[in-house]
Amino acid sequence: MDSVKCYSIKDGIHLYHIPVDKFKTLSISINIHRPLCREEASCNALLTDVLARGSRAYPDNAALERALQDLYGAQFDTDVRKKGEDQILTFGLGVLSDRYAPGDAELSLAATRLLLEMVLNPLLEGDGFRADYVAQEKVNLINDIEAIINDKREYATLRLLQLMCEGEPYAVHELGTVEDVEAITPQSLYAHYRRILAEGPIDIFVTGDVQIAGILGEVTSYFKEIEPTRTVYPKTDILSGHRSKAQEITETFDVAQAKLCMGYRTHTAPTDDDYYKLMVYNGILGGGAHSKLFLNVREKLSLAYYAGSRLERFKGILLISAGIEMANKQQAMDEIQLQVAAMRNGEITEAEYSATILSLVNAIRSLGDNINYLEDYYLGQVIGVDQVSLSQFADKVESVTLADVVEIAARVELDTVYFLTGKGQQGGEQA
Amino acid sequence: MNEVYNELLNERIFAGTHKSGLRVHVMPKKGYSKSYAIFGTQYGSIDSAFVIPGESEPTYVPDGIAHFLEHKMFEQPDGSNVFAAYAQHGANANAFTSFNMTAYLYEATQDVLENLEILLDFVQKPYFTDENVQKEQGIIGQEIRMYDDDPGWRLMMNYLSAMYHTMPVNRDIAGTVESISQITKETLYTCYNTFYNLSNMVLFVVGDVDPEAVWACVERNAKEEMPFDKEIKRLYGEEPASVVQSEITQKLSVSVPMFMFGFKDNETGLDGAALLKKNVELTLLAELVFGKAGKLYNTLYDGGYILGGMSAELECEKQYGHTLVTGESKDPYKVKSLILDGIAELRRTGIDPDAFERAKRAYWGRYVKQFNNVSGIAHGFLGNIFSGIHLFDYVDAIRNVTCDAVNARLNTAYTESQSVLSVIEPVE
Repeated sequence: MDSVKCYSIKDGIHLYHIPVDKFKTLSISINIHRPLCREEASCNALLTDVLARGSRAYPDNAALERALQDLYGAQFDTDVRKKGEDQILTFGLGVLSDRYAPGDAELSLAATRLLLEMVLNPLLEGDGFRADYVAQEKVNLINDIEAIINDKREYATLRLLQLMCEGEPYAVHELGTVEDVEAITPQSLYAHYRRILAEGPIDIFVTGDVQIAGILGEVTSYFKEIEPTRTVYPKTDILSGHRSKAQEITETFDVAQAKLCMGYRTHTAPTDDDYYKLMVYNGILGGGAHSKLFLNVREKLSLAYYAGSRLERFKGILLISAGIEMANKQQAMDEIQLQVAAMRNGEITEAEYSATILSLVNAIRSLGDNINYLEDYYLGQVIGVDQVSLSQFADKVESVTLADVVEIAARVELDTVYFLTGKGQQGGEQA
Repeated sequence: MNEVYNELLNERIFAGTHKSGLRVHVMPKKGYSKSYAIFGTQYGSIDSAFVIPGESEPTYVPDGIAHFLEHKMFEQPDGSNVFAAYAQHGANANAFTSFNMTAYLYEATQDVLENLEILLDFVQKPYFTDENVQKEQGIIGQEIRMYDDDPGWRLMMNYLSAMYHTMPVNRDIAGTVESISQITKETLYTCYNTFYNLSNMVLFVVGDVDPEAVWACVERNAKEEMPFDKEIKRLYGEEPASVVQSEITQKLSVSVPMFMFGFKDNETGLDGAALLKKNVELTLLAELVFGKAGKLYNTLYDGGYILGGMSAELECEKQYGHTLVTGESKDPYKVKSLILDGIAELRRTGIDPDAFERAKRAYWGRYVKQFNNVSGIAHGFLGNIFSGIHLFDYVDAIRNVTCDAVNARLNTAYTESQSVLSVIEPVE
């Protein structure tokens, strides 16, 4: 890992400092890793919401917001996401770098303390969290879970992944389920909170231009009582085996446009050397405006406004999606399969290949210009998914040959077709 | 080029005007791998009625044509695709059309000048045929359908159509399947020749770039074109102060009602410093009235009237403006009445000077943070320059804003009779 300093606070708790000085802000995040599973996904999601609601020092929204305003509009955010089958609870704070805060050199330390207070000194009632906050955040979380269907494009992708990964932890949504949320009590949530702090592992990222000693001191002091027992990260296995025949599932909603999603097994893990070849394969097939899917499904046949592919790298899955007229399903599927077959037959032009390499290298180099992406990349390194530094990453991609791509193409096999369509008659009017 | 340096931000922007009238701005960003260039014209979806300089009669074109034109600019006379040209130099390219502008952009970590040449070249080289116009009708038809299913988009478009009588923000940027079917290559050329005159355009480049090299590239590639000697007269109709209807509802496949509630701003016609001053005052006012630190937000949140929060935003353009809040609620009508109560209460007490100072401090932080990302900078710059505002002008505008001025706004903004509540309800 280049230019990142790792400080071991104790077993199971590490602080990583990425000392870049080009940003105006400093970003600090606390990340708690949990094995993704049905039993605790909802607890993890609700926990981030309840902790964000108030702490002993900042007991409500208004008190917290005023403190953040005093820190020049610092932003406190929580997130629960999955990186493969590692469910990560993130508590983050973005604050102006000390040098852009006129006359306030202690801004970074004050911000660090605020973040630590929110995570480690929660508001309690007896042996549980404050009951009215828990009750209300349960309602909000249930609403968020139910609102997943509002974005049909995203929902269709989610359903496809669920269908492909049925029976595996990855099928669990990071927000959990309505019934699991309903069963949570202020006491059970607090017990869960105690347990995950006691287990870990926990990573703290500090990204930006700052004197790290002061922050290290605060972090060490706040985590004094906590002794995590776990030092390894939850692992993810890619989808293995084969399906004798691809499954096809259709669901109907009240929509104007249908969403076609096709999921493929790639038999390639993000830690394999072959993964770089798969990235190039994906780029040529559907990774942007130079790709086969864009040029054929959209530009040549005018079937879609968006048509592309992406990798769900933790599970070794490639996803293709397009928004189409309901009546055009077969035509779109045929064209997509034609393009996948072209990849397998090595019908790839030099221009397609070189454009893809350049586009991927551009994207990798750009990561370093965004404070959040940068932090996320290094988090990937820490948990062992991203194996190399950003510059090595770009080199690995550049060294992929056309023959490598064709070799990977042979492994890519259709697993599931998911079609989200309207309730009305097939095919709306078209001018 | 002239240099403008801001010490507080520790940033500089170079500026020059080409003889064609094209305004060029370059902002070098040390330590960044990426360059971001954006080439924009002050021509958006609202510009479908106008008088071409030198003519006396107005020209009327179909709704959605600015966006359609943006799509068609990527078509090249030799049949090649602009994306392919960019791809040879590793650039990631895109374009967008808003109500007020059309912009073409790329980001790249190499070959900055080669990519800039591609950008300048294709935007100055229209190629429209009957066939390629017809092909685009299918693609854009799908884009329109996608937005038909997007509840957030429908919420906003319904809101705007209920707020504005004649101002064309009341219509979809992409037009309708019907309106785009009337577009021909001739109407596209008419619009192109009017609005893509370089005197109506701005180029902004930010990142790992040398301003002089950018300027030389512009000198080599900008066409020899005379700036218009007259303004393009844009016809938006006479917008009355009232709203069309105070409530509007649509049913879509969503889980819980979504609401957008906002107020029309009738103080139009401002630009430059006066517009910026109003913008800064209204931004702070929105923060103080609707923000998380205030009483109203917490009444709504703690009472369970809003689910998971509410956010405020405002539009502050020369021709139109409004401030709105958006969120999810099981009872949007109750939210509306609580918001009106909260505003009335704040009018009685006035804004707390301490709360004002905190909000101002936070505004400064958010403004500086915008300079973290080259894309944020580029979009922020272009979004202001067509209104006669330089991105650095915010430094003084934020510093000089007073609590009295914001209190005065509180008494004139947010009038109930000029409010609109838009709701998306679940089907069934």
